[in-house]
Amino acid sequence: MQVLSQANRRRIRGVVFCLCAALMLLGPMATQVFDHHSKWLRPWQMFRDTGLQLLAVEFRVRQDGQERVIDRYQVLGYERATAPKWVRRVVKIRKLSRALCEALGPGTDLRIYAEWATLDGWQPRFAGEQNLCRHSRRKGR
Amino acid sequence: MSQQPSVLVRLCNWALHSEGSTRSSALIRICLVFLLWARWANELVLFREFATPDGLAYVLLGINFYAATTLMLIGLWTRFATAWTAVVVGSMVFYFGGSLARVPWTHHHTYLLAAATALCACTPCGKSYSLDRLLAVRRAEAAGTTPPPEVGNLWGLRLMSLQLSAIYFWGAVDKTTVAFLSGERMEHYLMWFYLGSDRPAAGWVSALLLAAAVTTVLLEYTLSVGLHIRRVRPYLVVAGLALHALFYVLVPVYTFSATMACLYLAVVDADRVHALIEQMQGRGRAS
Repeated sequence: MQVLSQANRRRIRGVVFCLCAALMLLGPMATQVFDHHSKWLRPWQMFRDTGLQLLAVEFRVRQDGQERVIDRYQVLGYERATAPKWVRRVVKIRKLSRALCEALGPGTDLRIYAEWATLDGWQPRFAGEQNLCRHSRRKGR
Repeated sequence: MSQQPSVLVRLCNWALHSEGSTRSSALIRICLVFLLWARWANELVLFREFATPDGLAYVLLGINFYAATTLMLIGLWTRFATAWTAVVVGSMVFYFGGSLARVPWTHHHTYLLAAATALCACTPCGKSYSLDRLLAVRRAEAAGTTPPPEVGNLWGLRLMSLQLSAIYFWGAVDKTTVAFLSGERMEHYLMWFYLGSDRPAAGWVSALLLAAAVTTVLLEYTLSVGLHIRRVRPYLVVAGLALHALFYVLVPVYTFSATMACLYLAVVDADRVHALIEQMQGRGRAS
């Protein structure tokens, strides 16, 4: 027994098709064009947040007005491939700079030069403004 | 007189009135179940959330998930089972993921699985490779009639192809920025996943990343439209699958690439898929 006539089935199918197509094709506009976030309207922004705030770093030791680039892996005694994540992939610098200062010994003038990853590309973050060993704290990252 | 009405009618026929082999839909159905299991079966083992405050909800969810997907896989009461699975997976993405803040269940790859399952329920996915089909053939044999044809309305597959287009188009829109097209965002990914916080020293890497970024965006825009154009489709299917294979091995996309590859069955002509399967089985081009 047919609950719905053929014509009604076609109409329903047409309406469902149009609704689904509109949702799929136009739904992402809400977030991607109008910046309106809804759990019902899916934007397709894959890996949009991946890598953000990652620092491209270079540590330098300043001595007698001269700066020398140091290899953070070598200073901390790690192999690049097996180094812990906070040494390899630098996002926050407190823990890393404290470890470097401890390894380099007292009185070291350690400077950081870094750019960080943003949605607009690389942006300047640190340019050796301060001696990290002077400001490093005992705890936290 | 004017071209407009005929284009509309053709579009309407393509979307709503196309009939063809149901084997593509059935293959998508089977692939989706394995992808659903790959993503969720382990997380929904009943003991995992049993002792948590929401334990009962998760146990009920797990039972529904296993029951619905099993019926969907073997193809018993297939359309109902697929719709049931779609409801279960939809609740996982929107209720458990969205409302109960189980964030990994709201990611792109899980949403795509939920959407694909819901769209699969709109296809005649039980008319091939299913217990429903076997029972129908046996009934026909017992009645001395020919088995029912493996033919159905393909509007669900059309929706899947539009879903693919939407993903490519809006994915490309999101990447159409100076930062991405210059290769800088690609460099972020390279460093995040592989190199760590040291920028690649070799100059050719920057050139390679720039080329990769531009190629990705151009290919995504092209795929969003080109997959619907018969003449270029075979080349774009190969290019698209290669793109997803690269994503699969280079970055953590979970089930996303495999689901996209599975949905490619929706853009390939259903009767062509049927004929190829017949050919593989040594039964000639026509069934």
